[in-house]
Amino acid sequence: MLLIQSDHHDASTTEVIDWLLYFGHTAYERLNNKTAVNICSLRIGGNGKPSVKIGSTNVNAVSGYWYRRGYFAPAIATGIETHLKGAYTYLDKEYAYYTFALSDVIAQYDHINSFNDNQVNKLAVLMEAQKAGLEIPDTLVTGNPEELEAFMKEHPRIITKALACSRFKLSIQDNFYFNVSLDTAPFEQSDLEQIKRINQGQFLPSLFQAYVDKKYELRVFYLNGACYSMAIFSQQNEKTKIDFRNYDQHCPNRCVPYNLPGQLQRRIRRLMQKMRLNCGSLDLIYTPEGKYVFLEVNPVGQFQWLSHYCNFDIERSIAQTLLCSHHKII
Amino acid sequence: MLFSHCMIVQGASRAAICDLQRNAIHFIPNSFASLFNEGRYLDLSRLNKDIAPASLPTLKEYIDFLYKHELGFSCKHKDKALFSPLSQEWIFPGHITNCILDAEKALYYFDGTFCEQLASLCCNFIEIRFFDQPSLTHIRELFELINQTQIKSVELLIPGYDAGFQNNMLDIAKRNPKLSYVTFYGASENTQYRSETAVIVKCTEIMTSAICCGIIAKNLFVVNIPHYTESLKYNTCLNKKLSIDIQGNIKNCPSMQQSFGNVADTALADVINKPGFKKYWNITKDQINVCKDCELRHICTDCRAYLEDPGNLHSKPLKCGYDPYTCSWEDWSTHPLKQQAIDFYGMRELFVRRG
Ligand code: SF4
Repeated sequence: MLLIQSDHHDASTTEVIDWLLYFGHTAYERLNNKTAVNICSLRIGGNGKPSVKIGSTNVNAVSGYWYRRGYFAPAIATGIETHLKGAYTYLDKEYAYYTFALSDVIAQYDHINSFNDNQVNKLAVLMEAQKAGLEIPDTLVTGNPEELEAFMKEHPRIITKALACSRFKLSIQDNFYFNVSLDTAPFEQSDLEQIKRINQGQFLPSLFQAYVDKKYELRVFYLNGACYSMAIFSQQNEKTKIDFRNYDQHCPNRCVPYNLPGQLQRRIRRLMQKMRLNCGSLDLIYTPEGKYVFLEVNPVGQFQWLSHYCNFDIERSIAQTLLCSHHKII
Repeated sequence: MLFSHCMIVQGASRAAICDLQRNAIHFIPNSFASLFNEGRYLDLSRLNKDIAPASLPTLKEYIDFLYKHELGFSCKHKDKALFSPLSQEWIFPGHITNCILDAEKALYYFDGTFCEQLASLCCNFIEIRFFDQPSLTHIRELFELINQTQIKSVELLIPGYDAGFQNNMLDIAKRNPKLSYVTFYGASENTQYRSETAVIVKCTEIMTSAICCGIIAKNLFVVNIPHYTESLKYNTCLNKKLSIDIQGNIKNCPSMQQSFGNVADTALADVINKPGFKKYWNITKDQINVCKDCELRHICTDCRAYLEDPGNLHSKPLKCGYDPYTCSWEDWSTHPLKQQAIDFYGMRELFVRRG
């Protein structure tokens, strides 16, 4: 039995399942979106290893688990949610321990990613990347305008991006919210001046990074030591960039398969092993000077476009990996 | 260096660069195409030495052409190996890619068991062609079944004589997102538009039977990686295709004569393993007369049911008006050399009706 946790609309999940079916494997369960911890049980002690049940599925009977998307969370009766905001926060925290443990126990079995991989800390990754021998952009997290000013003197161009999540929901009222997305943005001298002028130099600690010039960008999908790499030519002639309507909506840039140098692959492997990630998408930049600069790793990133543009067999590999673990158990 | 999804295909008189990412084709002379090493890069330092000075401006013109359409990029010799060629493998998770179901007014055999048979073949795309107007209840019943299955998308070809019926069909399309393509034939106008979930086409042409299939035309070319890679090893029309004609005969293609059993008493999975069912699956364009000299062969569809020379398995599709030796299109139906084959397949009537 294979357990797959994902979203309703995730096409990549469906494609992997197509491969499972093609290989004649019909025993799988797909959990979508929110899996209420109310239907889960965790047993520690007794005799043997800790065990988890999700609904009627005993995770001990699961031979392989793939965490793609979706989440574990408590289903809280609406009464509590609306009237007692403080209680809600309390419950959220209370159950964070539970979901963390659940996910850990499930990850004892053969798995590709786990729910906890969502927790990967960008800053910790940068530090580990540097240790693994990867080049990283000079990075500063600060709330101090003088530090920032000094950093800007060192680096003529800098960017700012989110520390943890780049997307969140901002609730105004119960049924009214904004989806906010915080993409990487350039941070200019004028922004600094504005902070100084308007806020008397007060601002919340934020992440700043030296801007890295690119010849092309690299997207690497990593699975158990294998790297599927794609170069993205995002720096092409501005004039021809305009008419994209007839092209692919998702990526008008040229995307082609790429051979990562062996040494770089070894460093990536070292980083992923250190972070205890067996699967993830990495972003790198190839500079005009011919250097590879590591930006970040997204443990549950999109890989559909890599397969699609580069004719890679990522979905088939995921299915095979899951089936391999299946056979090991039997 | 060409981007690895920009493929040069040489023909008898010119070459095509198939841009598989942006779904476009560009034509270049064969003399330029043959300058590429491994079909993908130009060694400029060498060419500048080897080529007669008088030809250099022409070479530059063509290189500018590549830049203008963003078909390639400049790169150093030592970086060449970083850009791997595209894998030539056709990657597809299914025993059957698509299934054509022909019907007069109703698909009487389409039930839960039949859907399970499609599922076991991993067939996720079906095309249903009604040669007469079905009842709306029947269509609704079909979708009730389909919505419970793994089937991802359905194309419908259906009469469009009656405006009321058309509107009801549009309503069904709205409620059933799996219905991704509807063609109304015999309509009063030629239009095409995209609703939220489907493409709706209306055309004045009349489709009275499977004999209307097999046309090769510019707007039917498919320029993408799956089609290109499939064409390298398989027949782009018949590979992994299954169909059931209006009598319920299970065939590779509804326009073909040979039946492998009737859906009433034969399991689909048994049919695909019968000897002869896959006879056409591996006939590639490189083995077909004329097509093998055509620069469009890897973006073109094929047809093995209606051939220029009906006695020859490797003959060019009858309904193609393209001549790769002169690079010109002609109307296939009036071409003097095709008249015999047109009579052979009994297609005269078709032209009279269409006019
Ligand atoms: S000759 Fe006609 S059918 Fe053959 S490949 Fe060319 S366009 Fe297609």
